[in-house]
Amino acid sequence: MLRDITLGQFFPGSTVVHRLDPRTKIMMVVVYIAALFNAKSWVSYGVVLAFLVFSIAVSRIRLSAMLRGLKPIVFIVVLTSLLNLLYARGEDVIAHWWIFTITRQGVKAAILMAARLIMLVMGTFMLTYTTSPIMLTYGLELLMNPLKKLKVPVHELAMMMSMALRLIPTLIEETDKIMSAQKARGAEFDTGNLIEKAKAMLPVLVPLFLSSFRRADELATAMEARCYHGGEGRTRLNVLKFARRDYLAFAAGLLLLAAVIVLARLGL
Amino acid sequence: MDEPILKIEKLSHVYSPGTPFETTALRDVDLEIYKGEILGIIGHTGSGKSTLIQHLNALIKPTSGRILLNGHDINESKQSVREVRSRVGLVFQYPEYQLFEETVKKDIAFGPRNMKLPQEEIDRRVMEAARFCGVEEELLDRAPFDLSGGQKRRVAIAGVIAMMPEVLVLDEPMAGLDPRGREEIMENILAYHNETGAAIVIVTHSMEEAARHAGRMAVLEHGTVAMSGTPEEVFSHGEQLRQMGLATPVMTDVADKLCKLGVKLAGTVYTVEQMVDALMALEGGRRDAS
Amino acid sequence: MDNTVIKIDDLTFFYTPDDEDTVPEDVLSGVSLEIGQGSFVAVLGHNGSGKSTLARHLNALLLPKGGTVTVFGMDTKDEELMLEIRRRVGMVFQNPDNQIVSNVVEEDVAFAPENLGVPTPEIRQRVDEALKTVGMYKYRTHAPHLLSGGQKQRIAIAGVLAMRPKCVVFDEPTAMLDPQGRRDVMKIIGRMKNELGSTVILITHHMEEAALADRVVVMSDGKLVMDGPPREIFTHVEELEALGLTVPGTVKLMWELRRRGLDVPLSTLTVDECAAALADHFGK
Repeated sequence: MLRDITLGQFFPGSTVVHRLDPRTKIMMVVVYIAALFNAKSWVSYGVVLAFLVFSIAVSRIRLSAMLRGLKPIVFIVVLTSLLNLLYARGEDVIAHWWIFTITRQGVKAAILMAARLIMLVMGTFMLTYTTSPIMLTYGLELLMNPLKKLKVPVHELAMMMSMALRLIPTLIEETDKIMSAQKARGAEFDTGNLIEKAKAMLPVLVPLFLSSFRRADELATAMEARCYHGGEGRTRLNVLKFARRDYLAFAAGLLLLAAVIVLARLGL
Repeated sequence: MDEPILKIEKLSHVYSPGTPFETTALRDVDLEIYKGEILGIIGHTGSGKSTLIQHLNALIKPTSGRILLNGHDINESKQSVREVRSRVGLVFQYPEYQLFEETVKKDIAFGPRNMKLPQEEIDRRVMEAARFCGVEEELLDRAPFDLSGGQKRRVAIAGVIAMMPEVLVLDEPMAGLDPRGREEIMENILAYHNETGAAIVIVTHSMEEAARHAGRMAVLEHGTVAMSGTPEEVFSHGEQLRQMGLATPVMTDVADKLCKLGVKLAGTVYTVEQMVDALMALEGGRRDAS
Repeated sequence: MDNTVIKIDDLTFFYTPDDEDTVPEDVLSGVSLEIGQGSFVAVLGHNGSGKSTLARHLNALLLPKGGTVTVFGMDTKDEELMLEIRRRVGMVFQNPDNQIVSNVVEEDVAFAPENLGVPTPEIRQRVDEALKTVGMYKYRTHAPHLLSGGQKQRIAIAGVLAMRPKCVVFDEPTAMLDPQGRRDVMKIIGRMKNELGSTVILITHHMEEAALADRVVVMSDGKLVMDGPPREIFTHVEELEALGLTVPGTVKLMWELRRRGLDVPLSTLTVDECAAALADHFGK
């Protein structure tokens, strides 16, 4: 149930994908998404998919973990493809029933839309699954560094994000525990109408809220005790340096984007 | 002995079956809980204790096997699940973190309210549960978050006792408290046990506490019941318990050492009181001899 | 004492109340204490006795409202010295979940040296060394939230050791652990004292743990009420019980036997000592 939410989860490993510089991976995800949104045809989708499958294979992330991560978006995928299926315009009518008309173009749009959403989510998972949150935020911090000149508190933002990512698994566990404890007192979360269900969540949300505050407070104290004093003068255990593999990987990403754009120009 | 109130039959539980994360938490567990007894469940982290107790009120469903409450399968229907939730009360670890209402009174009433009892009955049970747990009347209208740690813990336990369960299951009820706080909680639990005759199941790391109050103990190891019986029986296997990474009561350790040093005591000793008695008997014999 | 590393002089502290009308209640009042280099001091006291508040003064997480706290010759009120004080006096807290900052073990251990601006190659060295000291080196790339409570606590200790502190304050580090986790943590504390020569201050509710210290300090209602070696402190069975505390089981046994007229020594702190004394008495 709640354990299925894999947001912020990281699967440690030592594959090439894991060892890539987080900055490379962040930029590659951006390029990948750009390619995905420029893909219009079966062929270009196929190229992007091949790229994704290749990265997953190299990273040795289990397919089951990938699929589990998709669970929360199943509803959105189904809904958007249904809408596409029913409302896309086209001439080649396959079926007609009441006010609904299904066309060949509709079927194509539905499949491609579902593929796009799934590939979008899987691509971003590749980033979070193979990059530790600390490295991820470190990468973001470095990429955003130019913004410091505009007085954007880059380090603080990055630290906040990494703490949030750190607390997610703990809070998920906590939510499970509180829900069980209230069920043991006879609470029911799956009966009644929407308002009753919302009301039933109160006994979970209040303790969860309080415990998040308590945890955040204790964590802040522990960080202070370990000499945390902002980003000034901080060094790093793992210093980021672009290696050959980063240039190669990024080049591959750009090649993907170029290929998709060329294919689109060719009308494919 | 009487018919057991709760009977666990061949219970197995597997988490995330069919995935790479598959783990067997419980394997063929048979255990009975009798009316009016105090059962201590011992085992180190990961031995399956908390999975086991969450089966007792149908929070977790068995992968195989069943749990019978007075002879009826608790997972039989929605109705039976609802029923077992109030008849088998479960107090989680650090239960004070589940308090949520504006007042202590309302929080204790949460369980009875979910049972859809009439208002007078709810009020009566709140007062009764507060009394069992030593929650003074003037605290009832206070916000639970204003109380001390020990008080919060007692309010949380009162919230479960207010459902008047026939079996009260507590997971590490004394964890993190100072010695006096520990003693108070134990007294509250015993008061409920003595006055209502409810069966008590205490999950604990502390052999001392289990030894002092439990009439029967079950030791869990790798998801199976490795040992069960009276404390005498269980603690007579001191070496085996230590091998499982469990701490034997200090008095058992002293007795074992004494035995090695040539001083034999009669019977199994696991509390200070027993040790004093055993040694005074020895002293008596010695005095008579000289 | 000329090897004093911590000197607390007439320390008073209260939390400033939210509204101005309420009179603040002293959490600590008139506490004076000196701790020597390399000593192992256990602090006992009921919940709310002020133990944790006292501990938080030792690394300037809290600042005195009255009196002074001096650590390694530095006044904790001197803001300039705050980082240096926290580097020298490390602190391990009760809940391991709430002191781990990273989702990777080694990155977590590196947190303090990173904050201190230690050069990268040395951070690596310190992290490896600290993880080996607590016996968690092989878990260095694991995710902490998948480890047991005892293992997490060892990671937290490694995170403090990586600062190379001279003194470590443990605030009920074993309260949430199972017996195995508790033993592991106590073993590490012993190693820190004996092999690293650290000064250790241990706040605990477990009398058996306090019995391992060189010195026991007892607090009650914000005051220091007893101070001495464990062998001496634990002879005050009735006073300790009146303060809501207990004594180790072995001492309690001897006390009961003595009350019944047996001539046995009172302060046997360990099982071996206790059994030997009893064998000595009954073997005759």
